[in-house]
Amino acid sequence: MVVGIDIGSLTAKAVILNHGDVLAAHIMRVRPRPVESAEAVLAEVLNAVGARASDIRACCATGYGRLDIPFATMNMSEISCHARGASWSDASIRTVIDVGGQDCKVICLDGRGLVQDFVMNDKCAAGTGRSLELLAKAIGVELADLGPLSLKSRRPVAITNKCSIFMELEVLQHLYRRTKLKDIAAGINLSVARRVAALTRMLTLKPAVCLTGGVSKNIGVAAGLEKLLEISFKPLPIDPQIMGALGAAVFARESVV
Amino acid sequence: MITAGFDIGTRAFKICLVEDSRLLASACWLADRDLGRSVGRCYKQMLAGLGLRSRQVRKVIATGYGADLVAAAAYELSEPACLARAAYEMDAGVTALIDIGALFIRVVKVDENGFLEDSDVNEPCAAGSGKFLELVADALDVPFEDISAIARRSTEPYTITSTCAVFAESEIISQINAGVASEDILAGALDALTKKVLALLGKAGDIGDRLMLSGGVAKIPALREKLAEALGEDLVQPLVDPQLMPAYGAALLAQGRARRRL
Repeated sequence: MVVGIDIGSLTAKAVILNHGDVLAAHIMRVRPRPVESAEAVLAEVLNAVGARASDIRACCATGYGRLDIPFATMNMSEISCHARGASWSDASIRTVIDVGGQDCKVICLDGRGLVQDFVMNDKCAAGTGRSLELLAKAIGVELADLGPLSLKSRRPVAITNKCSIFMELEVLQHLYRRTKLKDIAAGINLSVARRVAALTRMLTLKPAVCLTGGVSKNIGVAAGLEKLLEISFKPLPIDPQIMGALGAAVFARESVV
Repeated sequence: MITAGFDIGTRAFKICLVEDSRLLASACWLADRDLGRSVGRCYKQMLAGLGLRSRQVRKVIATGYGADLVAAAAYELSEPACLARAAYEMDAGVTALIDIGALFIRVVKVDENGFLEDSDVNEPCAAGSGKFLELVADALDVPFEDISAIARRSTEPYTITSTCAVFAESEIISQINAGVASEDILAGALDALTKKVLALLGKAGDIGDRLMLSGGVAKIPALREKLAEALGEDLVQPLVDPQLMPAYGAALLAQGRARRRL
């Protein structure tokens, strides 16, 4: 039994692999210190399969807090883990677009799941989950409702700013003018999709393309990206938010077999 | 003759009622979700407080980010035009005015006749803005009026490495957890703001030698000091609350135009 742990900026994820099967996976909000998040998320997956820490043969950590986890036997970069996880889930994947809480990355991989090229934005919150969170809060809509709500819109508002805080202002202006919430929600999702698309265009996309990370669960952003990039995302058989943790688990498994 | 100036900013809106050039009354309210209605309510309260009817106010001019929300306004004018007018009213020798609001920093050059010569505004990125300072102060649970006193105690300002205001907020939360002192974080945020102002001044070219500082953020004495030190000269203080400058200028401009009409 091996574990992969991904400590992101907003959520911590853990995956347990046993003989090539995903036995358990868990996603939770991060605690203030990476080690606390790691311990808590590990306890969750161990509980789910009724195992103890001593049953774990290897543990690979990834994410921004990956160096602070004492019980990890190894660590790998997020880029490698996302590529590995996506490729393990579906061997036909050649491009991974990962939109996380605090960064966004586009990774090209070869047939073996090895990284060939990547681009990343971790300098500006626009085009990340944080931007979505901020803007959803500004209009008083739950993050999870932003996607479904935006699909009802036929006239998304235009959000032209590139900075999340200026976008918040634009969103408020629409609220002041009593624009329908669904149209603002659609505008918000499109604004994030546009930023991600701009990053994506820096690389040559090879099919099949998958969308991973927490933002992949927002159907409005996903649909907007498909339209902007004129592609269709290949659906993954495993929760796209745990790709990093899954890839880490695959690396952990390779280290012991 | 009584006129009014409305300045609908990104964080707060301000209203000034002026008779000739005398400030009769002013108000500064935080912007809320129901901004259009709040502006109307605030104006009504001000008029009632002075025992005025709305038609006694001969002309209303609006400025600021949400100027179009002011139903009573005859027309809208740009912030730089209003700022230049207000600065000239207070000090005819002012060559340029630096206005630091929540999101916009403006450098407004004023010519010797008090007319707007030129103006510059920051790029639309919130890094190092007043809003960013507010995010930092909120994370530290420090009220606005205490920022200055606390930041002054810093001996080792913390240099914020994030280039994005949103990310800087999380960086600061982790620094608080890591035990960095509040005063060092606040002083670091003020340094970031100072740097942003200086960058804009660099773009503005020759700004003369008599500078006035205004805007809500200008109410932080420690920031004034940092800026004055960086520029090597004292900054002229407005005679009204520095946050009211654009609204006051708008009301003054309304005076001029209304008079010409008669």
